[in-house]
Amino acid sequence: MITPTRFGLTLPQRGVFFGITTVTNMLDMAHEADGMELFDSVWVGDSLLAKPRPDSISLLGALASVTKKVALGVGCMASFPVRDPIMFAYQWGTLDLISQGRMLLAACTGLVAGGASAKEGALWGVADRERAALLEENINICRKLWNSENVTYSGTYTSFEDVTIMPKPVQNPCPIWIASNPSRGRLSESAWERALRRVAIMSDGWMSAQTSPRSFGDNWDKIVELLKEEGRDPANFPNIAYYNININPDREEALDESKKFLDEYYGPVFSPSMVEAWTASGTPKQCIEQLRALANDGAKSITLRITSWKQEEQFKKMVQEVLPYVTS
Amino acid sequence: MTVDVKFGLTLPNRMVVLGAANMQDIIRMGAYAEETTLFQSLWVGDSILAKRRPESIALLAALAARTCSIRLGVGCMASFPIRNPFVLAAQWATLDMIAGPDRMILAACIGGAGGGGDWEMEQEAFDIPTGHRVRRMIENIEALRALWTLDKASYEGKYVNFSEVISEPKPLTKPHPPIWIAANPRPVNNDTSVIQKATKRVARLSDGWMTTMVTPQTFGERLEAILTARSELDLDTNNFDNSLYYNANINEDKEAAFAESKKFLDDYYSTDWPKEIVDLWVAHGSPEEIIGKIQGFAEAGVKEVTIRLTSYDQKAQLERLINEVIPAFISRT
Repeated sequence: MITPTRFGLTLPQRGVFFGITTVTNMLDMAHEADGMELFDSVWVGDSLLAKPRPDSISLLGALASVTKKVALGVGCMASFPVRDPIMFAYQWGTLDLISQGRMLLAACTGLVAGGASAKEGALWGVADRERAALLEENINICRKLWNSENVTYSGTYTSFEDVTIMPKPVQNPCPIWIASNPSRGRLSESAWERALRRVAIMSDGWMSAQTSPRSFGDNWDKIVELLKEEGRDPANFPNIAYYNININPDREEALDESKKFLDEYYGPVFSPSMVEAWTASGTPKQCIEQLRALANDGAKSITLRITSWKQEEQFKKMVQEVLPYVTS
Repeated sequence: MTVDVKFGLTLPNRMVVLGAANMQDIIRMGAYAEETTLFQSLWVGDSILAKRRPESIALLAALAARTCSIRLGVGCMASFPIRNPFVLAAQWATLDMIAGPDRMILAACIGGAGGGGDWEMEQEAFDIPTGHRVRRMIENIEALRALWTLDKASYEGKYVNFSEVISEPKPLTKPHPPIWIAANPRPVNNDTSVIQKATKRVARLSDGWMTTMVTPQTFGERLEAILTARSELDLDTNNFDNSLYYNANINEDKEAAFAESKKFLDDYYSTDWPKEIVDLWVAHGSPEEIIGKIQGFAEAGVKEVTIRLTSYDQKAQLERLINEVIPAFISRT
């Protein structure tokens, strides 16, 4: 059994809209996590108009200057397909310079059911069905702009000649992971495999949530199989599970509060069973068991978002009563 | 004898890509300037591809998280006309949240020509002809104000169009973070109408004016024209802000001060600046000479002088600025 020894902290960025946190509180929490052995990454989310929130690039710039050690991730970068790829590559290069090589990009399609991503995309002339192709094209553009000078690119959506961006990222290569959470039950077998094969072919790592029991493990098993097919070694391929936590002696209460939190955060899109699959909940012992199960399913690292109104209190419990015991 | 003038410090972010400074030193220099309490603002420059440097928004975010109360500006934001207004609205509003209210200043400008920049690369990469930049700047200013202040914003322009867009987060600064225009117009083929147009644009659209490479006399005349135009439009003139982007190199050996400044500017812009521009643009020489130059601008109506030190020894020059120049402008009671 592989168990994570370090964890990520996901900042509840949309919580600024419903009284959970403020930008200042998030920066303080990140600074605190940065000083602890338990954490090796801090994450923010991203969306422009589909699920708006404080902008990921600005927030990461601030995080880069109040932390010293942790990797700084965006997971997932949902507006990646609509943002101008030259502008994005340029801003990301500066973030990597400010953080001295700690940036971790987990790009995704940003598809949202119910029309939110379509509405966002319309402002850039991007239809939902084009997002996957844009994700791939923009990943290729970023890599070229980060690695070379005088780049010429001819793509389906973006073409340019002789472009050099500076400063370049400090990391070379600067990692690009793909975040995806395809549901085997809801997609056709071929669409499911296509989504995961993209990860196996072009990504430097994988991030995923788990919104039904064992979905992380099922997807990871398939990625392992596809990585081998592509001639890549799964042992050297990183992944991270994006997970929630709510510590409460009464597990029902923990799940109720998590559901309320997620309803405020995303609108009422997650059923109680999805919330349960996605949240370490209950007593510290129960949370430890759930995190161990996730690790047992293949999660090499886990980043946690506290789905509670009591961020500071829960953070304390998490770092004192849960995380140190997941591996021992 | 001195009149009231405030100081800003311009952080030379382009030195990073020239290998003459590192990013952490630039950020530390900003934090240190705040500690001295002698500066009311920090400014960084901006350009995506034409005059490459660390990106202004990411850098301002880092500075905002590291400082408490000093104003933070981009001057000028030469990429303003080519930035997407929805992304810029969200990024700048987030900077405003990180910094806290009334600290961020966005000084937009047209960009697109001069200063040794590779404007062709930028124009072609973003497919925005130089001739479209003025219109795009105007539309982005109006679009940002709409996105920041209206629950559901709509805008109809030639290049920017949207309807009922909900832009979040909203900035903390009310009614919205100030948008200045940086303009230093020069006659084109002896045609001075460019100057009148720029003056009107600044008067009508901006919350403040930044300029550079001018004499005190020109500064005074243009400021008066802007304020007159604002009065005619029934816009406030008392709180209308301004800042002069100026350079300094403090050295009793005036020739050495000139030589280092010229080298610095030539490197910074990959161009060969004529002597008269360096003379006009850089206060160089003894502290007394520099105090005199700044005094001249203060008398012409400059509210803030932001200083870029045209030197490869930023630390030493900053100490001289702090100890030998700025104290002359602190009124003793």
